Amino acid sequence: MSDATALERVDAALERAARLEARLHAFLSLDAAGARRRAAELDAHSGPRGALHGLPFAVKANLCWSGVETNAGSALLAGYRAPYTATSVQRALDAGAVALGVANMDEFGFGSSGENSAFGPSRNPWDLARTPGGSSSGAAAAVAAGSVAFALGSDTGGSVRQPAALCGVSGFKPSYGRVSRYGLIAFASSLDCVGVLAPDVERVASVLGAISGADERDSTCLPEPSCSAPAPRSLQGVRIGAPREHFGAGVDPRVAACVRAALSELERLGAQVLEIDLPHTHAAISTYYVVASAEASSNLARYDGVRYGKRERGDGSLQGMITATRSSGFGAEARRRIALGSYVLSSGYYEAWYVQALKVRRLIARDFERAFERVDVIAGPTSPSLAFALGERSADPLAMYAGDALTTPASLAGLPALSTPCGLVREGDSDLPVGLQWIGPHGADEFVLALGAAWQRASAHHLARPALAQEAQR
Amino acid sequence: MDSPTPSASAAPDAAAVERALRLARLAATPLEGQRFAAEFERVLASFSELARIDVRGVEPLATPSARCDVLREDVLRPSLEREQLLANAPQPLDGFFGVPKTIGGES
Repeated sequence: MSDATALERVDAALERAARLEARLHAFLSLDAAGARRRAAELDAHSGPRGALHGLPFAVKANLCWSGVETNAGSALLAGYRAPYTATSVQRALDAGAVALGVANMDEFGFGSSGENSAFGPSRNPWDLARTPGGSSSGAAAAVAAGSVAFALGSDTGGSVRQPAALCGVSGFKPSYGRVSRYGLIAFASSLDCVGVLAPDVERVASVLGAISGADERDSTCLPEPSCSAPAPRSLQGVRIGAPREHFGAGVDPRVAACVRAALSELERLGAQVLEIDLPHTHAAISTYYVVASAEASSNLARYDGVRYGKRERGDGSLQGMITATRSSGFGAEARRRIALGSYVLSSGYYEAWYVQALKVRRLIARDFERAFERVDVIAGPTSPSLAFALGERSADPLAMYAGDALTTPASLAGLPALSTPCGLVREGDSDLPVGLQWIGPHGADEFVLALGAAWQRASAHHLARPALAQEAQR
Repeated sequence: MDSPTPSASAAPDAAAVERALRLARLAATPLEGQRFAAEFERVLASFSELARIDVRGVEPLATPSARCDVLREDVLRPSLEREQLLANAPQPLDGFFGVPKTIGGES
């Protein structure tokens, strides 16, 4: 495939994506004409090639892509065509990648299963009756199915890592501030990170190298150069902390056993695995949902039917129009989180809920700081469960939120975190992937990716593909 | 008039939920409101552990970002054209964003 022209790669990807779409619903739109035109331009260009030359990729529907419908999975933004392109998307394009289409997602990132998309859920390529995870649901499904070489997603509380785990691909959330958020439709500004999903860590790292680095258009973006490609390294002597809390109550014993087996493999490769404690892990979900909902209620105040998106007339007054627009435009989970956020920020409740959560957030961050005095990296399960059936948790928000127990701590602390496949568990007629999460100190993005890449050079879990992907390649 | 000093373990009453919905500019039918309040109560009850964590002397962590108060020079830069900005507006009006009339007269 490496000798193929960009146009041949893009044609093959478009054909596969279109053929699988009826089963996966990974995409909200495919830009076949634009992708082919761009690929032909790349082939005609004789100069030096970009790091991502000719690689077809999917863009999560909350990353602005000029001229293309960027609806964030929300009915409220149906028809919204972004007037500019997100920095991360533009840098991927500048490095020679070809944007194939817009990936499905939970509305504004509110969800862990893809079922909160206003345009219908995506399906897991390993078992079409199950969720691919979320909120980067379509991105993970498209990568796992082999339709794209990588996808750009966003991760606020696990939205890249959890779907990567459930779909058996590699997914990375960088340190907060390593990748510009310019052009990412805001959910929770102190947590949102643009992330990458790809079949393996080396590909993740090359994409991260292209999209990371300083950007004056995002004031929280760190004034650092882009991430460099991780130099090949050994796992010899690396101290890996395994948090007891990440293997405890609420974690499927089959997932815990699979991750323990992976840690044993890492030990055989020379790493040293140490039991550690992250004592405030139990409070991560509560903290996250208070903080993220508060920020979301503020960020989503902009959807008032005035400047973009749909508008409902209501009773004809300005306030009536705004209320009618928001009440009918947002889905149930979006309304729940916006209301929750308004509640915890409102007079009389602000200190007890929001400020209290921010203090616990610091305790969670301190847990990590203390742990990194003893270990180089922390590893455990990414998701406490296997991919669950569509519909299984959609009526119960608390059951859905519980799935974020192990990804939200790194988000709250702003740390880089990677999910890599570490094995399959048989359930019914399906083999379902398990993800191993690696969490590093802030700024240690290259180090975390280097460890993941080292493990993938010495193991084969990341090579497992769903039958559907193999069928599509024939 | 105000609610008593809240603790994070206090369940929200119907009035507080209604107020949150109003602040968020969200409307609900009475039946939806009831369902919403019940759901809200369950979610907040599950978060009540936060109140039991000892945070004495702990400073709030609002952002993991080390950067703050980042300013650029106060100079004009090119931006999007008016037409581009209005292209997604539900009711563009003579080069502006149209909204229902709010002051005087009939809407």
